[in-house]
Amino acid sequence: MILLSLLLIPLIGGIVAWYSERFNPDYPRWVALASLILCWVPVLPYFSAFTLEQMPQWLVDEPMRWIPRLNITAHLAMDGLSFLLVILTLAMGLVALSSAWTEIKKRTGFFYLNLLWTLAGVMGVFLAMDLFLFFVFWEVMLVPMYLLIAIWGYENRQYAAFKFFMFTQAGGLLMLLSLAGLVILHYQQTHILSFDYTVLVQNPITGDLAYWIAVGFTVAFIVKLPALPFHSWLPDAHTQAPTAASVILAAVLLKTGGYGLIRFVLPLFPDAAKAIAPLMMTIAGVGVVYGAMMAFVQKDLKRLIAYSSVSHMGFVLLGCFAMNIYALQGAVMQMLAHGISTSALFVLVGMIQYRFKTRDLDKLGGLWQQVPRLSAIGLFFGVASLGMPGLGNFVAEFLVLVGSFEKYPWYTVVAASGLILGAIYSLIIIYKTFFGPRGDSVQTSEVKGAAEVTDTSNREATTLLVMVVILVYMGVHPQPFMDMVQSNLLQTIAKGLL
Amino acid sequence: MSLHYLPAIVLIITVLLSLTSLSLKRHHGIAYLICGGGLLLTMLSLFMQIGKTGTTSELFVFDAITPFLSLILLIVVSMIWVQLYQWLEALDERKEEYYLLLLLATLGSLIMVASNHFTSFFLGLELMSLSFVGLVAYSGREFKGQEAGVKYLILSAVASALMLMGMAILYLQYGTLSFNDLSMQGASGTLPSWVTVTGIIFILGGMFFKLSLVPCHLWVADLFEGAPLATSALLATLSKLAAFVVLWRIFSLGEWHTHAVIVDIVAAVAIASMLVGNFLGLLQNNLLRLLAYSSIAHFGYLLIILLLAASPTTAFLTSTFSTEAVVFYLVAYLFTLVGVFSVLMQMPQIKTQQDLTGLFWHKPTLAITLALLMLSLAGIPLTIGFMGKFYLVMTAVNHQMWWLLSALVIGSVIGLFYYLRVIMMMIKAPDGESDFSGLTMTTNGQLLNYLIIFLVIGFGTFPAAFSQLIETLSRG
Repeated sequence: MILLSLLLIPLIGGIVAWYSERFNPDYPRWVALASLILCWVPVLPYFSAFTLEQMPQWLVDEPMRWIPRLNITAHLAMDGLSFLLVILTLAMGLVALSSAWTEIKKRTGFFYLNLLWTLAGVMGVFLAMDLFLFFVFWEVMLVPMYLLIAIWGYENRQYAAFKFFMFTQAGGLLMLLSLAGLVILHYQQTHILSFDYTVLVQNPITGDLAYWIAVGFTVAFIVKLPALPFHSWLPDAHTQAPTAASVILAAVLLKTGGYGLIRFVLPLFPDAAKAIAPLMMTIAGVGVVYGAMMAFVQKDLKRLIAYSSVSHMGFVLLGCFAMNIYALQGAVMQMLAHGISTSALFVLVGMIQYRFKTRDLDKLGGLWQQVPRLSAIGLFFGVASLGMPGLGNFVAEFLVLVGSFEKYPWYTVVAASGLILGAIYSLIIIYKTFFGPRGDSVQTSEVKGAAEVTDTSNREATTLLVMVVILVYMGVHPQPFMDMVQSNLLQTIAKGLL
Repeated sequence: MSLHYLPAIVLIITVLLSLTSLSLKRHHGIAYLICGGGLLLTMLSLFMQIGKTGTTSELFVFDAITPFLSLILLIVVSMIWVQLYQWLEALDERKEEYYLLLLLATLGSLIMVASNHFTSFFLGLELMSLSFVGLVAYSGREFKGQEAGVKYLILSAVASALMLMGMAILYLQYGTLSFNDLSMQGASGTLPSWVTVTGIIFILGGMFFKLSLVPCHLWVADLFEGAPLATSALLATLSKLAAFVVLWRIFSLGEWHTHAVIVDIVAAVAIASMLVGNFLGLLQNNLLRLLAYSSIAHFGYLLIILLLAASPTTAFLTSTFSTEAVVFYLVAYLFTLVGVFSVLMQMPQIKTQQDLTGLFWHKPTLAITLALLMLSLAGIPLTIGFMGKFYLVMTAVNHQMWWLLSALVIGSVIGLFYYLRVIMMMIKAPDGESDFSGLTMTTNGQLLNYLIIFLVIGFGTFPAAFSQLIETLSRG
């Protein structure tokens, strides 16, 4: 019941938060904080897994009956990969809460309900080991996210929310077809009807149809990642979403795509994965460069960071299909590091927008003199995003490149240029916001009275500094994170090489 | 006379009773209660039959599924009945006859669902259609309602004529009107097979009218909009369910899938309905027209079931799985649809999507109910609509009907667009213009909303018991 309680706490917390708004609009955020902290209780014991010599296959395994007619189970389980991502989700949930703390003033109850339910849905995705259950979480987590963007977003929120939902739903429908195909094909070949991951993974399906099923799953996942042809929802969604939703979106929602590739596509369709690998590597390589170059020309700070996400997630895709243990570990590291650094950047943009009422790069500039603490932290995360050695992002990107070089040297060369391009847009962010001449918006707010614009509050500074510490730790001592996932990833690789 | 005829007898007695009371003394309350009591007793008598061994007679078939479907029909009618009193009170028209026509239409649909012979089928169909003409035009002096009534009268007459012609041709070929003997292909047939195919096409044409499938769909939007709300609800649920069940029965008993032309026609109609229905709904502003177009698309999805027998199967699970899929999908869709209509009946002044602006912030229960129903129609997981769609997809993938499935995917994505727009309207910040002060929530309506949420989400999240029940019924 440990994992179930992990899902139930935010679900119930959300309802309580909504109800508590009747008494005081401030209560919901406290309820949300309490339930998020409570969520840590079930996972805390598993931190000891960092010290284990040999990782077990599953840290926790909880099969439950659900729909016996089709042998669908509510099978929740957690291994090293799920554990890391659940931790990321919970941590970024707290970050999102912190960034929403004063920003959200309207309809607080319903906001925190949606925030908590999104987190529950995402954790469900990371923990579900039954494909039907996985699909349910995969789709359902979109609904509260959609509401977060559509209700509390900026100017063009309806359009952005709509696009987000349509893209991911179209991918989801494709996954539903593939899911049905997978189960039926598996039944034909083994006469076992099961939606259970642990059963399906033992006898990977073969044949022509398997190839198309794998493509269906892959497309659904790379829509979420997002990879090149399906990425256009991301800049809109990010730009319009409120800060807290941007954080969740960047930190964990995108990671479900990468997680799906590593967890399902590679082990369930080893042959097909090999067959589509060149295509995916191309998409990844082009995505890295394209995302970076799109980021150059953006005027909107949030949009710029969104495109940089496209570029960074290209590395995840590259790592997934390189069929190499280093590259896969790199992909996992990239998911974690990108989750932290990018959401930190979104938090910073949120703070800037809150203070200067704009995120237009042309109107910003020279922030350092007014908000030195904020700018310093901004500098750090800008540098992290360009892949500075000593930080988590560098470890991740380096591992991906090392791993991919063995089989796909040219793709790797292209992707490696992404690091240089990444430096350019990171420096654009740093130069145009924190340094350089003062922008219009910065001056006007000064005219109105300098007292209005304050530097980071203790709450904001603590949030960001904790993220700094984690990112540095991942950069200088990444081994524990890699050990967590190594044994299972090795099995995946072994399957692919057979 | 077996127990199986009891529900129909109860209904007939109710009809007579309400007719008598009507002629003695007009009283809305009494008519309402008689109708309700009759429906309740019918449901009870149907409930007793579930799980009992069935019988088949010349005219009627009572297998395990028939009483279940009839019960679902009755539940749907009762859910509409609950709100009828209030809704009729607001109508400028005599109230009592509405119940009479409602009961007759229900009786007709019960007969259709159980029919095993073209005679019983046709009698049931006409009883239902003629009652519906009255129900559609039941809107006082309003022009649109009268127009809708005339339209329905003419179109259902055309459909009936087509079907009669088809039946006559089949009779000419087989010398019998019983569904069971339809499968004896050419046993007594003296005519070339194209004559049979023509007959089948005539019957299908009539059925497509009743189910408002492309290209016989043009009437449905005008009718939904023009007819009184409760009638639209009945038309969308009662008449379509009954027609589909009969179509499904004839199609499988007659082994119509052996004619390649028929398979092609049905496939084309299915794909066209999915796409056209959803496209028409795309920019539709009127909620009732939107529902009409969405129902075209949904019955397009359901047509996939008819074609299953035509393509190779992989003996997945049991052969009854497609039956389960039909029943699950029908039940899911009907519950969702009747839910939508009962929400709409609670807010009679709301006609277009603009009218919904900001509803969520004023009447959260209503808005949440409607939003969940929209998600169920769109097939988002944890709703009963998704489970229905999942069953359908599983069966269709099992039979490898990729063309129909790709149309289903495209249709669903387009459909999502307008379902989502309804939700989006409701969560928009209220602009001050929208006025919901006229909306009074009754306890009746409130309870019904909770029931709908329970049905849609409860069965969507925990479908185990329900799927087991349907499995047992399909086997039996």
